[in-house]
Amino acid sequence: MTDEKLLKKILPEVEKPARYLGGEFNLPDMDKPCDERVCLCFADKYEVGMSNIGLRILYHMLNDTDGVVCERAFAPSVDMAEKMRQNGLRLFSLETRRQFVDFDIVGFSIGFELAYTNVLYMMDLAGVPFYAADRGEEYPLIVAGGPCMVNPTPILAFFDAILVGEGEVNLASFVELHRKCKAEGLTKKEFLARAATLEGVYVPSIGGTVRRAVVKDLDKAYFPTKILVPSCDIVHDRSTLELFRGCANGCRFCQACFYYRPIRERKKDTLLRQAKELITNTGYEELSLSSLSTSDYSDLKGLVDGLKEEAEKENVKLALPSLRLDSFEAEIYEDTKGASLTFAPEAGTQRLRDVINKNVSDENILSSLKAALAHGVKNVKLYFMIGLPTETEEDLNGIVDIVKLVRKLHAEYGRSKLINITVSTAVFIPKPLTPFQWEEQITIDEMYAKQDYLKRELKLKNVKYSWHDAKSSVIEAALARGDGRLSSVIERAYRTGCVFDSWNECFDYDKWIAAFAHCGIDVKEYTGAIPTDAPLAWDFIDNGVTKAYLLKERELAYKGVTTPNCIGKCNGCGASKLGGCFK
Amino acid sequence: MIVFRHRKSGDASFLSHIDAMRVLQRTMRRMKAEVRYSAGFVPHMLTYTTTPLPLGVQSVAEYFVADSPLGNEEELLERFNACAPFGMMADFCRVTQGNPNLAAKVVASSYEVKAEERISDEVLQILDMTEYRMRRMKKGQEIDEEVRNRIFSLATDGDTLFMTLATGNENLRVDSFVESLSRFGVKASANDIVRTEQFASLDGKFVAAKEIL
Repeated sequence: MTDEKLLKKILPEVEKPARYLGGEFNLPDMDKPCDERVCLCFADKYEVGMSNIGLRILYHMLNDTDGVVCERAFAPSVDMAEKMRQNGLRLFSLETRRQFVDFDIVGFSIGFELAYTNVLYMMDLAGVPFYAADRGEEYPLIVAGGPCMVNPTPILAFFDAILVGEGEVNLASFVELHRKCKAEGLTKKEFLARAATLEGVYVPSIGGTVRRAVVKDLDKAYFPTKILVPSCDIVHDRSTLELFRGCANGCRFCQACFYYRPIRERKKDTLLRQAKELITNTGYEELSLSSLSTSDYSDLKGLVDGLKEEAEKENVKLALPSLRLDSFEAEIYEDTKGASLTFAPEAGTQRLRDVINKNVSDENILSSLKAALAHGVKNVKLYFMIGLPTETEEDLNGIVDIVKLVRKLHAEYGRSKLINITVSTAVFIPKPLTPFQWEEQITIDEMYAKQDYLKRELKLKNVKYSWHDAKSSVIEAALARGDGRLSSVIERAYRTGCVFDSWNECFDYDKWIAAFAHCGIDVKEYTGAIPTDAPLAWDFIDNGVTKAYLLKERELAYKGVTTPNCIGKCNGCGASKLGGCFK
Repeated sequence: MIVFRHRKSGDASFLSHIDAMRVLQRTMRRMKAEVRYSAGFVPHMLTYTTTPLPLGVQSVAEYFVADSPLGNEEELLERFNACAPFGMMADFCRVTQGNPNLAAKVVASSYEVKAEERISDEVLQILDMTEYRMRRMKKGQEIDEEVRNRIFSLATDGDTLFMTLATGNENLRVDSFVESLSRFGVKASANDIVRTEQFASLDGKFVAAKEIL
């Protein structure tokens, strides 16, 4: 247990001490009889982790299980870590201030490759060896889950087990099995041998293959409505409804689209009930909707109408996420009185949008913008990517043309006097489980050249241009498609000071490159093109969507042929075999 | 108006003032209190409080005022405590006709400080001094200030120090003051300090804020 007196002495000296305290409203009973203690960790700061809907679901699910107590730990800020080290404090759970060694299972939720060093940072602060092979019976089982498990190969060596897929299925069964095995007095090794047979569980020390676990019936799946209400400000400080999982659109660069398939919805009535309970139980001022493409929800209008009624009654703001361009519904938009509009055309020309399968036409863009501006929109945010396969100068010019079009349309149709246009560009990162998983990433020099070009061309009145850091995109790409050799690179990067790499102000490209060099690896090995017949580091995972489908999609991309949204007709991606695809 | 006197103790003492306000406003929402909102473009709940505590200092006497119609005090107190997080519970509720404007009326607070060791009576010498200077940080810079006229009372009992210090417009930061007492051998951190009451001045006497409602 952590020295409470010491902790309270150092807390006034660190930024935002509330991050390290727990004690939020709706905290589950930590004193209930239990024979299994789990600590769920998020490899980023409290305010980021507490905004994660997956962590929220799993935390409450485990705490609602008889005999199981689940606590949380987040990556402490650098100032807190320094104080902890100075005072000999180990990383502790927020609820009961237990250390890692006091738990049966420590689970990391990893949603972003640039969080890998934070995992080691947390292990280091917790005083546990990084490599699973170095951790004996005295240490808890340390497992990983989350979207990065689409290719966990670079971090396999750090974990006893990898949970591939949805935690409602594999984490629940993993914890349950461990309780039984613990009661039987099994060793870690004996337990892992049994755990390797569970759906969606991969044990690196055993190897083999694994199929991603998914919730078959999302409508009946566990969803907490008596959720923790943080006492300090967090990134997404609001109630969130999860409308559905998976995405029917199939944008060819988008990992989430394919990873979260099959597509499964929650029923409108279920969501309305959950909304009501969330509003009552939390006191949140805002309710938002979560999914990969809210526009595709089968009865969005009906749902929004129902939510609006409840929200108005309870003085709650209903926050709609950005709607896809081709399904922009002005009526819904006007009802929610939004003053800004977020569109993500992703590419500047129709040709490139066809390549990436962003099924949005110039006509869609035109009509949607006209409608939005006529409804009084004052802020337009546009998201694009640069460095997409087959991109040319013409495509970059297309981005500029769209921005100019917004200005022109505002002059013609705008109801508001002023218009603010924010343009953001991300750099294309070839990600596993996408049709572009074999593509090369453009070089840093090319990234800078494209960004500089747009900086020049978008120097327009009321237009603000922001761009994603080129260097971190390179490291993210390398880690995303990395193999087992990268474990030592990640360790080296951490040991030389890389931490909170996803925070621009903390990311240090030179240290990463030095870490690659130290391990005798050229980062370009991981950012270049991969032959389509070469084995991939993530081939041992059956994520549902088949390699053959991804290859077919890649071919269509190069022909500029689009694949329609699969809501109307199944495109045969393979995800339905996991169960539950709603069409 | 509804006035609550609530704690800010244990872990809750590490909440910033803004965070604590948000927690209390959400408590009002959960208890379904009919609180009025501002009429601006982004309406916000009309609530008021007294001088914020420094981070880490505990209290059993924080005042929180919500612009709300009349109600049953006992029932409101029960609902508040059912909806407030641990460490922010209230022990007093009063419904008033107008805004009591406690922020302007509160001029002093009493505190208890539990030190690590027995406190020497030497600390009481401060009361005989005409000037007491202490250093503290203000906006990132260390300043030296004379605070004797903001120290109203001091008393000791073993390892506990009782004191009444200025609060409000002429505020004396309690954590800085306690830190300055290290020159008398007093060892205590911010979390060892508890605000026990806030006072208004009535006919030259300090009267507990709840008594003037």
